[in-house]
Amino acid sequence: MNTIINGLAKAISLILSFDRELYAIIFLSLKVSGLAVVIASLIGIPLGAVCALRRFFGRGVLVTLLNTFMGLPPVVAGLAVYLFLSRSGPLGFMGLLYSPSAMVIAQAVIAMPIVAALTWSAVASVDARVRETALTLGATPMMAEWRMLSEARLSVFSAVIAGFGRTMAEVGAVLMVGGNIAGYTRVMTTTIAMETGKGSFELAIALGVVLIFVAFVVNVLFRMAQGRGMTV
Amino acid sequence: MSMSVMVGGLNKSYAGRRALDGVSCVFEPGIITAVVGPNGSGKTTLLRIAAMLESMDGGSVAYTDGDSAVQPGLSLMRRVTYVSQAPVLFNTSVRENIAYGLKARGLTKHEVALRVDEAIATGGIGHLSESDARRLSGGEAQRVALVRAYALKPEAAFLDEPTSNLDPSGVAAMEALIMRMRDEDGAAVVIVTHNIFQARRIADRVVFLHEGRVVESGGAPEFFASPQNGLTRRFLSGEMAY
Repeated sequence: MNTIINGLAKAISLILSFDRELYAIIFLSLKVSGLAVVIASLIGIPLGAVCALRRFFGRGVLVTLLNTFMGLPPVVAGLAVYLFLSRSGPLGFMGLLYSPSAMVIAQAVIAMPIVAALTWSAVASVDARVRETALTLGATPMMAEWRMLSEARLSVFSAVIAGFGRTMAEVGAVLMVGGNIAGYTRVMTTTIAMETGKGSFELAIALGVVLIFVAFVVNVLFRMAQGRGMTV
Repeated sequence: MSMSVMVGGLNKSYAGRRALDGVSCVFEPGIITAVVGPNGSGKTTLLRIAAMLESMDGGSVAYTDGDSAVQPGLSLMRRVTYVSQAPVLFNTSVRENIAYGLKARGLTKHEVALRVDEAIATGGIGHLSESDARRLSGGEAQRVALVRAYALKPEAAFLDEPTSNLDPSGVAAMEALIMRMRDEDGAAVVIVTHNIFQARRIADRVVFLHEGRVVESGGAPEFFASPQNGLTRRFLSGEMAY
């Protein structure tokens, strides 16, 4: 119990003293996860929406695959990205392994199916009469589809939040492709794992507190958006 | 604006059950046509096919502007509108709902604002304009949907039981709006209604459907004063159970 209390006290002092190492880790984590979720959303939202709104060959298989990959074990994603980016891999010439870019790619691979599958589910559950109504009001088919997506905006936003949550909490893949290099690829989750392994709990607890705080802020923002109805 | 809609020999079946059986009629500009008939007579199906929302099994629907045919496509869709009995409002404000079709047509912000303000004032829904459309009652939603259609100044308006959820004052306001579509915009207005009194009040022509067929049609005064068909007489006298 003392360990926890002492750890918490030191953690608070680390946070309040604006410790450079701590904040560098926090900012890198936010940067990597933020970029990853942006990439995942840029691919996942249109992909999920198209699966919900259009009929095409292989659509059912694609949706099943997206749902399957929602539960993709991070270490498997890490392994795949590692094999692609390693010197002997197809993208090895880019020299990205053990860099923040590799971590962004790995996290985007993990988050994209989550964003896409949840977007698909959100858009597919919108009343189909919305599209028809938009058409009767003079919308083009594209405008009517955009309307369908707009109607699902809160759920799509939840999908992005879910993707962000997954990337922020992820440790296996970023460890494999980032290498946990101090001052370069060390993020909150890898630091927590490493410091815990060393029996040095202060930094681990401080980062744990920050992770929970980030999750809290994201949820507050989400609730605020819900309250405003995210008017489009 | 003088668009007519000519429906010829329309057939439509759902799962082997015939909904429309050789229905022919004309919806003319500046005329309100009431389509009446018992439940299951094919009124909504006729309306939806005429509004290009459903396919037909046989027959034709032709839009003409004077003597020339209007080709199907987006420009035709933008001259026509349809309001369903249970209208769908978008998940945004009432004002944005009314502005939607105008924005889709590429009107400027200023034009959109003017048209929306005018429609809201004419429809008497100023108190609802900033409300969340999804939180309206059924009657309020129906009024907003009708005002949304009115704002577009359509040349053909298909309205499926447009006042079925309204109280008497709401009915009067919306009937006035429907008549403005006819009188000011010269629209061909088609309303499906179960309310014979409403048809008497606002319709210029009546089409009576029964089991997917046109039993009788004609000018409203004659239709109500001296119906020619026995089924029509039974329907108007309330003897026909539906």
